[in-house]
Amino acid sequence: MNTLEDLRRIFDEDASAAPDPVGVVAAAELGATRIRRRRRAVLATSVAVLVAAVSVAVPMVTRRHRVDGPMPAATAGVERGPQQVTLGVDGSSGYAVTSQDSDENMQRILFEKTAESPRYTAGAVAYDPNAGFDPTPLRSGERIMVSGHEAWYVGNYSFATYLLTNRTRLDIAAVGWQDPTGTWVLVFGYPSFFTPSDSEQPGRARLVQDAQAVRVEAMHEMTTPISLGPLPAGLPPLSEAFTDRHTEATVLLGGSPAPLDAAMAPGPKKGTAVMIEARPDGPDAKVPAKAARVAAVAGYPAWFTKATSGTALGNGSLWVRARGCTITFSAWDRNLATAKQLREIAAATTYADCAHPATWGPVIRG
Amino acid sequence: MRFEEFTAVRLPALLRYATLLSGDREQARDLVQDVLARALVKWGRIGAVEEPYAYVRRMVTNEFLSWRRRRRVPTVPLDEAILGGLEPVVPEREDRDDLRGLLARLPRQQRAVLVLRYYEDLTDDEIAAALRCRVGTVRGYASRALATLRIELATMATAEANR
Repeated sequence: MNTLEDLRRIFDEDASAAPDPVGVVAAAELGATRIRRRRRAVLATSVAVLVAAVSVAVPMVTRRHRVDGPMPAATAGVERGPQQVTLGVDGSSGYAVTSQDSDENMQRILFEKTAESPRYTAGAVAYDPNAGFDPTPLRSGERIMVSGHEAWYVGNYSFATYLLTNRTRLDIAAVGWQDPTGTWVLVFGYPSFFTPSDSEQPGRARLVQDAQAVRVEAMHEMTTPISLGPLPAGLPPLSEAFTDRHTEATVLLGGSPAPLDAAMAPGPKKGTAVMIEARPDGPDAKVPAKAARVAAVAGYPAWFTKATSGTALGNGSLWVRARGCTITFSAWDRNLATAKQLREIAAATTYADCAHPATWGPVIRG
Repeated sequence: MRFEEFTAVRLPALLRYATLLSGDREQARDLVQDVLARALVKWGRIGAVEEPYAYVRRMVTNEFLSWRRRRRVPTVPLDEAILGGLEPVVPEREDRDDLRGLLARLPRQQRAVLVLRYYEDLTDDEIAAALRCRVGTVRGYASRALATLRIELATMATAEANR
C-alpha cells in the first residue's frame, strides 16, 4: 500500500524537474503574435475559400440539376462525404469560421466575430438529412424567427461531451432549425470542458445573433494541407476530417461516425485505423524522442516510431516534414493498419504549406 | 497586473503544475507556452481578474484535458541531434516505483484532481470551481484515483477528515 505522503513526495520530486522558464515567455509572445496575425487572416481566407467553393460548387449543382432535375429536399446532401462540407457562416456577417469538422453524418464549426475583442467562440453543428437526427427536443423549445425562417430556442439542450473519460451530458442553450435542404442546424455557445458557468454562456440575444450568421452553403470540398491519393487496399475509407484555425488538420480513416448528440468532434474512436495529423512547423518543431530516421517519403525527410505498449498507436507512426508542416501518419489500431500501409499513404499524399491555406487542396485528391 | 509581472512571478509555478499534470517536461513547456500565448492575446481581461494565476491555471488544465491534446504523442525538440544522429535525445524514463507508474496511467481528469488537491492544495470546492464540475464529481475522481494508486485507506480517512 502507498500513503498520501508518498504521493506528495512524488509530486514534489516531479515538480522539481519542471522545465526551465527561460524562453517560455518569448515563445508565448511569438505565439500570441501568430494568433493575432492568423485572426486577421481568417476573414480574408474565408472569403477566398468561399469564392473558390462557389466557383466549384455552382457548376456542380447546375450540372446535377440539369441531369437529374431538382432533388427532393429530404434527400439533398445524401451524397456528401466526410471530405465535403456545407456548413459555414455568411461572409458579410462579420463572422469567420475558425475550425471545421466533418464526418459522414454531420459537420461542426466553431466561429467568431472577427472584430470582437476578446473573442467569444460559438459552435454550430449540421446534421445531414439522412443522419437520423431527432428534432423532438429542439421542437419542444420556444418558436422564434432566425434570418426569416422558423427556428426554436432551447435553454438547456442536452449535448454529449467526450472530453471526460466517460460520456457526460452538457445542457446548454441552443438555437436550431431545418434548412430547406433538409439539414438540421444547431447553434450554441462553445461549451467549456466541464459544465459551463452561467457567466460564460451566451445570452439569448447573442445566441440568436450568432445563429443568424450561420448558413448551409452549396457543398464544397474541405481543404487541408494534405491531399490523400489512392488508399492502400484493405484500409477503411475517410471517416472524419478536421481543420483548426486554418493552420492544421486531422484526418481519420475508418471508425464509426460520432454519436449525433456530440457537440464536439470526439476524434479517433473504435474502428479508426489511421489518424493523420498535419501541423505547422516552427522553431519548436518536434518529432518523438525515440524516432528513427527512415527513407525519405516523396522526397521529404521521414521518421518512424514503433508502437509502445499501452498506447493506442498500434503499429507506430510515420513522421514526415514537408513544406512547413510536420505530418504524422499513425496506425491507431494495430489490427487495422500496418506500417507498410502508412508509408504507402504518405507516399501517395500531396503536401501543401500549413501556413498558407491558399496552397491547400481537397482532403482526397481526385 | 501586467503580463510581464505575472510571468515573472508565476511562470515557474505554472511550469511545475503543467509538469505534474502531463508527466512530461516537454509537454509541460508546450502546454504553458500555448496557454500563455492565448492568455497574452486577451490579457486585458485576465489581468483584471482577482486571481490571474487561478484563471491561467484553469486554462492550463483545460488545455491538458482537451481532446486535441489527447491526440498528441510525446515529442522532443527536433534539433540537430535528431536530424543527424537519430539517437533518442531524451531517454525514456523508467517508472522507478509502482506509485509513479500507477500515477502515470491515471485518466487525465483523475490526475488533474489529484494534482490540484495534493500539490496545489485546493479544497474540493475550489477544484470544482476550477474544473467547473460538481464537488461530487471531484470527490468521485479523487476516490477512484486514490483507489487505483492503492493509497492506504487509513491515511485517506485522516486526510478526508481534515478536508
